[in-house]
Amino acid sequence: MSEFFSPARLPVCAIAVLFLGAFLSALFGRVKIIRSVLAILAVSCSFACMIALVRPVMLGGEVIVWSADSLSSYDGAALEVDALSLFFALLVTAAAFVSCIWAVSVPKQDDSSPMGFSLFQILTGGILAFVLSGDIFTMFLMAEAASIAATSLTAVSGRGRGAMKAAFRALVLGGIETVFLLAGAAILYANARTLSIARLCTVIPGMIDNSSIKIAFALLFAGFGVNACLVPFHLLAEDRAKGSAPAAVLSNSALALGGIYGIVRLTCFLFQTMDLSSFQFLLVMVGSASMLLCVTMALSGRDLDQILGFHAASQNSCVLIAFGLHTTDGFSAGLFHALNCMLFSALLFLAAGSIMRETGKASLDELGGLGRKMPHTFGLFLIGAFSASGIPPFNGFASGWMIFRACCAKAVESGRIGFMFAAVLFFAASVLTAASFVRVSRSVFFGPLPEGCENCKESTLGMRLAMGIYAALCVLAGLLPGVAGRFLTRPGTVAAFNVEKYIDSMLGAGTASEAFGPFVAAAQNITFDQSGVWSPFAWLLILCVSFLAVSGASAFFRRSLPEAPDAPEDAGGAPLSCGGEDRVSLEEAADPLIDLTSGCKRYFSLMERIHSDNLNDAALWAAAAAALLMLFSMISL
Amino acid sequence: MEIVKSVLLDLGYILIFPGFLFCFLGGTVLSGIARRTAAELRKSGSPALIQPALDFFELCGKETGVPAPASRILVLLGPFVGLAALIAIQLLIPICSFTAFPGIADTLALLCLLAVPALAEIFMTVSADTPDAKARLRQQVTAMISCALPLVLVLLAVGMAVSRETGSGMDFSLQNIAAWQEEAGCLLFRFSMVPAAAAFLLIIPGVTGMQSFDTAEIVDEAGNGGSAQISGIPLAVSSLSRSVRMLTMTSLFTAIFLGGLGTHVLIADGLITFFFCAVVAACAGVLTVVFAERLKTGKFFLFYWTVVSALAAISLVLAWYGL
Repeated sequence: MSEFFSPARLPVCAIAVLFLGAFLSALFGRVKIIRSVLAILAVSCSFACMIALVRPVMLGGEVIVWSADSLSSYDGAALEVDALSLFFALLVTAAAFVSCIWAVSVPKQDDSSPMGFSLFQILTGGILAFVLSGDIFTMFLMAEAASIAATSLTAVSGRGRGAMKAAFRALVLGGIETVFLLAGAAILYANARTLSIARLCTVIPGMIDNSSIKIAFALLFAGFGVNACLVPFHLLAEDRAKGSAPAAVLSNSALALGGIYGIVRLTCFLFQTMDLSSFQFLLVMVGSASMLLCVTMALSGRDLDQILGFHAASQNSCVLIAFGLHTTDGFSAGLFHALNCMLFSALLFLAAGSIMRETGKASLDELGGLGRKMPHTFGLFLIGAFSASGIPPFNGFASGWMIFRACCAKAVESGRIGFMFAAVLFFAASVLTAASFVRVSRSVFFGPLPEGCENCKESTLGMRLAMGIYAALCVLAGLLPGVAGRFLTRPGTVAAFNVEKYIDSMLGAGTASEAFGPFVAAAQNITFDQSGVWSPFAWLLILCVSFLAVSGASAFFRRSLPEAPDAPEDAGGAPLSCGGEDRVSLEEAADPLIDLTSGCKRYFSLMERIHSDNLNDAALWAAAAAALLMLFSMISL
Repeated sequence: MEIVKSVLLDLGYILIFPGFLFCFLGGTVLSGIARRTAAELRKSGSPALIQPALDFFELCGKETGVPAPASRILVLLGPFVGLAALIAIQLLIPICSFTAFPGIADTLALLCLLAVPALAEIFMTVSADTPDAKARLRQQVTAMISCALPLVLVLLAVGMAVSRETGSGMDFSLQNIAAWQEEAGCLLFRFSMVPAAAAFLLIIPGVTGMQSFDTAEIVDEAGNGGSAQISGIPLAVSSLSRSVRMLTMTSLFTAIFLGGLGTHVLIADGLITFFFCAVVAACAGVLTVVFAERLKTGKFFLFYWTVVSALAAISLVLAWYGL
């Protein structure tokens, strides 16, 4: 019995229970209570399996391998759990678990709910199998399963033509991803006669001069890039966000982070190219471009789900920047930011889902005044917004601060000023994110209630509980970044910088030294920079005492001063109008970003022009991206 | 006994110097200096140096008023959180070689902490939801976005200059920057840091809300103009916050460009720092009239992200090459 529950079987159990749950939900899901219990059971079992692996993998440093005996002759079809894959698996299962609590608490579920629950579990299982997979073909299959489930969830979201259109575009982009990944895997198999990641790790570095291997790199990079919604595939973030809120959480955060995980496996393990400055440049440049483009797309967005989709993609791109630095501090900061992205993006999507479900509207122009109707949802949304904007002491600030420092340290260490400008762009994106959330908060929660929203009610207790869990984690991760570092991000970083251990665990001790010659175990040399200064508890304590002092002094003045006779006049504030000749209507003035958008009118109109709904354009961009990547790998590898 | 003494000392820092009382007095006087300088240049009536303090007391005496559609909690809480955050920031900025609470936040953290009072004020304005508030929101959001980029470039330039000299990695600690200036001389007198200092001076009017940039006049078709406004204590605290922001920004300028000129006697160091802050505030007043006031809102953002950022970037590049 104890052998059955050995750690080696837990990964396959975690995946199987989700697919079984999906099957049973499809069979018996017509009754709400049954589908809810099945979904909660499946995702909680899966999450529990992953938690059970924390001790041996994260703390003990083990690499757990599971291989189906009947398939072992194929030299693949294995699952592996090292600290890096477990980190992402924990993110996926935790997000699925908390989002499932939200999903089962939705009061009025529509006809598509049984199918939605089934697809939700397939999506979770697909992403989980993707990150735990030990061979490139299983990765491809599971990426496809997850991508199709995400697309289907958008299609069945019950949000009319817009959702169907988004699902169709996601399907086309998913098809492009299929072509890239399958072609890349096929080329690798044709050259190396294996699909096992560990075996490929030993073989590929010796074949790197082969042109077809270089093309395989470009195709796999582009394929994972589609999954991660990187530029020029960022429109997928908008399409995936059109699904229900839990689906958006998984597809825009977990699946996209899965794509970034794929890129890390590709660059750090399969091709081991991250020591080359050109590949560091590639990751940082692609990450920076995606981050800036997505945040500016969010600034000009009009729909709540669309804006959040772009913000999620922008924040995920920051993770890629951190990984591109290829320093232990950068990687650790990137993993921490991935964790935080998952938390605040999930919180924002669920809060937005609560609003859209209650009002039936997504357009910022049609929403307003909901702060009074849904005060708890408003408060939770603000926590998510502050976290995403990198406001202290929330989690987004803690990881953003680490990435910024890592970029600067890398710039000094490598002598390349470009890394410092990446840090500056990262900071600029944070400020633009904050401005975007001011606009969203203003449009959704303040102002008069629009017609049809008079009877809106606060989210149910279960929905608020799910959002509350994410909000609490956002605050805790911001206040206690060291805890996440010790148990999650540092073991993940050590695993990412220790390819030899991964190879030895999968293929037997001594394989790595046979392939690469004698080496010093990288993990023993890994150190983390502790020099940064940020003490959130001390700052909060000072803030609280200052707040009490200010409040006390104000109360004292209020009591002791006689009442002034005249109407108040704003002292010290800038005049509202200095006799300018421009005149704008109230509606225009209501947009707090109008000065930014009018100041950069050319940029925004260019963005509008190149982001057409034409699918041919999307395919053209994809082909251009793949061609550029091929050219890059031909030159740099 | 030691613990009680330490707690009392910390409370003294927070409540008196360089905390609440110092922020109130210093902030209002510096704000008065900047406004008076600007008024002198405009050749309009010069307000008294203590006018911001008088305004504060006058507003405190008014009945607290919150417009009907506004969120009462945000209007009442926002200004207090904003002012408390500014005081908490002031406590982390070195006064010559003295820092009330060292080792809590470096310059990068401080940069992000500056967003807390800005957002507190923005959310107070958002919640007011009057036509006047809409116009002010545009100003506040534009100012927040505009000043962030040049400010981060200035701080990077300073960090780079210090790290090049010390030969260590990037140092973002304000205490270390001040201590290094004590040994090596003020950064302001280095050729490479002059553009960064100029950029910082241009940032001050933006961050402190001094810039009365040319906001488009709002046409309210419904005719229900800005009659319903926030008044009383929240407005008083909000106006005090703007004054304290002047102290925060000028003392940050003094710490990073004029650090190391102290005497190691706290009172004397406080007076020296305040003198420099007053000079910087006067410069900010001049720059408000010369540059910031002439900008239309759309141009304001571009000016800061191009001209001011370019100045800071020049310093960063010069410091990068060790010039």
